[in-house]
Amino acid sequence: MIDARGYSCPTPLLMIQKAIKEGNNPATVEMLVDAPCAVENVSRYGKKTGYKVAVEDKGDYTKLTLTK
Amino acid sequence: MEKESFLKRYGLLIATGLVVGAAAVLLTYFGNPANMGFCIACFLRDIAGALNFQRAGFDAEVGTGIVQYIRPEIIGLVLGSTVIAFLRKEFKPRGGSSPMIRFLVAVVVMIGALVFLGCPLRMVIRIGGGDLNAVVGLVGFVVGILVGILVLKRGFSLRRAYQQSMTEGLILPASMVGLLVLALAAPSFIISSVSGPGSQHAPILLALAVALVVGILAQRSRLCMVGGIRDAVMFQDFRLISAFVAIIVAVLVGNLILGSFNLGFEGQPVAHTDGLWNFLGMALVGWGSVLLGGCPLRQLIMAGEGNTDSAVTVTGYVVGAAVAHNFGLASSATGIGTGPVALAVVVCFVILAVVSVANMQKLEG
Repeated sequence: MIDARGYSCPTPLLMIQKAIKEGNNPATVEMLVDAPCAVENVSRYGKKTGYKVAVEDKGDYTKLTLTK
Repeated sequence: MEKESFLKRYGLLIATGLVVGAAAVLLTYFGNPANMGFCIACFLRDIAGALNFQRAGFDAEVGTGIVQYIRPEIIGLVLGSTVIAFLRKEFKPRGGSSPMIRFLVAVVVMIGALVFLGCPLRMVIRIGGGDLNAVVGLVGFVVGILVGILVLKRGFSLRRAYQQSMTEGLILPASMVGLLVLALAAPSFIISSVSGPGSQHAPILLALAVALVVGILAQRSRLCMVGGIRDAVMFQDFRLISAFVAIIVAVLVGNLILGSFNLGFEGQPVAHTDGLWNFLGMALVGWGSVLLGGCPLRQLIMAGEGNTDSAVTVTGYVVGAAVAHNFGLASSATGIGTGPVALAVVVCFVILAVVSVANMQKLEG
């Protein structure tokens, strides 16, 4: 689980890029974000790299689950 | 892989860019200084002047400087963002991500912008008006952003922000309401230039209305001049940069229609031809803005959304404008400032370098 809450763009995107690269395209990546632009950017990046992206609104933050 | 339609991907950003460009031409037509329809740096500087934080070009005979005026454009941008953020439940007070570093970097960005004579938005507007000095500025801007990207890739972060109280988040939007009251009531302690760029302005309510629309669009599209180039280079994401191009196109067409397009280096409105300083000024703006996570326009919009780090950044811009003018660092149409410009610019680069290196850390994940 990557906790990117409190980080503004583009840091969450860099974090997910790193996780995907270092985990050698893991089957699942979970991430917590709270910047609205991060929800959009990470979702877009996930889709671009072949993941399905589930977005869960948790009130103060959003949980993004990327699965192959 | 899911494919987004072109319209969905670029539609809002291109539309926002076209509206911003058209708004800049319109406001210039109705009285704003040429090629300055919408300049965040210049207008924050004018507000600093209106509050008497600086009185550049002070003329004892008329009793005012040349860049003192409460610009309703700034007020409209912030409040447009605040209104739409509330409606879309995106008004979330948050902050605490290295506020003093942000303040300092904002001062640096403003000094750089006033050495060049414009924020990234005005740079684009100047390019659309045919001002080739702004193309030199663009090269510096891109170089600055590339340096910023290298720093980001080495783990630069100003650390996380935290939830803040509603009161904390509302202070900057509320102070914009206060400025609006002052602009409308025009008490004698608020200065309005009677000559120079500060004396040239569109009618208050028109400027305010146009800026409200732009503020709403900019909040929805997350328009950012720095983000445009950053995302294109780092992620091959061309959404934000599409708005950048749309602004140039709209301004160009507008200027051609009004017959105010003037290609060249010489005789450009509120600009100087000193290439080195145009380049270095915008390099400071590019690098500093990457560290701050967005251009001055974007900071205003985020401050409107309750982001108190951006509110601190905006405060830093205002102080930076006062510093730039009070110490003769700001350029003018006649050339670079009469103060220690070279020394100040070197110090600014050193500040950015120290901030960059000191805040590289291992990212989680």
